[in-house]
Amino acid sequence: MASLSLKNIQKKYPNGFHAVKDFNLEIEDKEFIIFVGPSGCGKSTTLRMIAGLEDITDGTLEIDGRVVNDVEPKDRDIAMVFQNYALYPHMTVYDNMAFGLKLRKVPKDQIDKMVREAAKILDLDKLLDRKPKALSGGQRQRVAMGRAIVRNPKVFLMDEPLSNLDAKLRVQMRIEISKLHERLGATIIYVTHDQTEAMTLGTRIVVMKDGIVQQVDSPQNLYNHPGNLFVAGFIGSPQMNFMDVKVDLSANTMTLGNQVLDIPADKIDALKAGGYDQKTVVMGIRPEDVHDDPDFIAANPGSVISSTIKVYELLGAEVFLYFDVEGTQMTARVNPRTTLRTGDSAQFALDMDKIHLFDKETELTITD
Amino acid sequence: MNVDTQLQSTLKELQRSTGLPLVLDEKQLLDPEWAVTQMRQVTNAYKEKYNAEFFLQNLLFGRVQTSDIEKYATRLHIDVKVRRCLFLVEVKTWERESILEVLKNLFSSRSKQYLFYVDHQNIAFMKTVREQETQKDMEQIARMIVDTLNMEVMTHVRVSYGVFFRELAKLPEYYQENRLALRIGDLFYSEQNTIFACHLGIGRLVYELPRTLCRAFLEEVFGKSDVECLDEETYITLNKFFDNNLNIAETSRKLHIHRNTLIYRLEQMERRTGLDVRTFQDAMTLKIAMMIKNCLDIEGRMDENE
Repeated sequence: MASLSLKNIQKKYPNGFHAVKDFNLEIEDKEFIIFVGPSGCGKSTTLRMIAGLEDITDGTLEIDGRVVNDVEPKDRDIAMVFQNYALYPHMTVYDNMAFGLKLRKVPKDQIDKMVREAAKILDLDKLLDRKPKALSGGQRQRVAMGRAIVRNPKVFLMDEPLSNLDAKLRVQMRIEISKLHERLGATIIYVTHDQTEAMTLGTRIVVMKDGIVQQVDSPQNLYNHPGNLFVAGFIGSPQMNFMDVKVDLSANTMTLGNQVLDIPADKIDALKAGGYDQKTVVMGIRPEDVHDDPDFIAANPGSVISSTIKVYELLGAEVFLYFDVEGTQMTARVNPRTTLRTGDSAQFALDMDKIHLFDKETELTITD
Repeated sequence: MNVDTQLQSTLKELQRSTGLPLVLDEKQLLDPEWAVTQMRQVTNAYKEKYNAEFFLQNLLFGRVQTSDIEKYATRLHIDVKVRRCLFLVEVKTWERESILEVLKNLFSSRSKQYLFYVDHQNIAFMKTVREQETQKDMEQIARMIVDTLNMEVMTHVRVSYGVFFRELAKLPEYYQENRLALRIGDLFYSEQNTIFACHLGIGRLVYELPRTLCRAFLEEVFGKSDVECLDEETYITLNKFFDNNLNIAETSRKLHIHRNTLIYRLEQMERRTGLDVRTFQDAMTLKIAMMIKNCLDIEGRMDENE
């Protein structure tokens, strides 16, 4: 398998569109790296530059220490699985997986060996004689993976391979891809716009926006220590609650309209050092850190807010409550045993140890 | 290529076209050059008579008389008036044989889909479209072609596709539309791999302008010697400003510069050109000027490379 090095990678199209700006990343052998971000953020373009399907405008790409900027895709020792793949409808599973090797004039006996090995890994060995129309969605997806595995590449590049599947199948295939990563011991670079997919699959996640890397970190760190407002809002479902608060360091409080909240001790120094006294900052808090439990509320009088429930959503194992605080919509993820319902007046306590503070202008984290 | 080599390759071509095991009796060979010509003519006649792709190629380039279209199409079992869509696959490498193989296996010939070379860089795919299929389905097919070729042949491709048509006689017209779409895509939408020939927007408008008019317009906007005021930083700033709907706060945030820095850059631009891009009218003028300048620059580079 392989390590990759992307140094100052840029992609600027002839029409002036600057898709990727100064992308730097070192990928270790066997890592499962996710590029995640909204549509148009440059993640697919970066993947395509790694594949050699797009020219690199500036910067250096190395695979296993070899500069490959000008190396043809077929000579980079990579394999791809893209979103809108199609299987050959009149070929068997065996022939579908073998076709790419036949095009490259690989000897028959070698093709046979490679196809059967890949089929075993993917549990397709009993389906080799079937045609695509006789396969389930998940089996077809595995055949697409098989076409990549038979190439025995150093790096697998996957661009939203699960986007066309229904939700249930997507979850199932995510598990299969994860297992595949372990079985193959492969370096995988995976692009997705789905932050849930990113969080569950990757060892490291690259969050991108407008062609720029926002943060590179483990899923846990991205969730607990987002570097800016965008990352904080993008990672996590439901989205983090954001509200403008005015800082008053003379009283060590933040005001949200008429509601006053105590600033946690560990955040005061950072606010002082950044000169945020009497300034408005953005406070973020995840829905699961907004509590309706009376004991928690009693134990945290300095972080209580009051509102009226606008929407009650029961998801089975949890409930989402939607309410407004000083004109800002908020979400609380609470226990399904809650007695609160739509229209009820409610009190919530914010877990102030879990808040995130961001500069309103630069949107960068103040305290993480 | 010497005559002997030509003889052999022409014979091979004739064998391939007819499927017949043909052999040259060299003792009887009086005039090799004449033999080559004769074999080529027989090959072409055979292709014309029995080969749908050859007929469609000729039709694409307007080499078939309108009055003959129905006759040839009927002989070749090609429906003359069925709903169709034309795709043009542009390939930038010498992998076109592999690409054709992949496409042939994706789209079975039994279902009256036609695949053929247009030239060394383009492959045409004429698809029969069912009544319930929509333009969105064609977009999906175009994306599928790109992704499958990327995966299987590992090469960059672009695909243009057009509207539905029924009359086979309209094929040349839609081919030109698809070709234009790829060209305009090259100039204005180079980040896209699939281009719908009917969604070319302002790019088509700019492309169709006479080049003398374009240069006169640039001179009007930038002055005789000042077109180079569009340096990279200014270019990026203006594009970001336009992308963010002329919003100063959002643009400065996305460029990671202070809003005062952004305002300074925009005011610099106004001093040079007299255009205040904070107003819609002037922003539109400058946007069009930038598109024209870009178009002329890219065309200039393409001409140099040729």
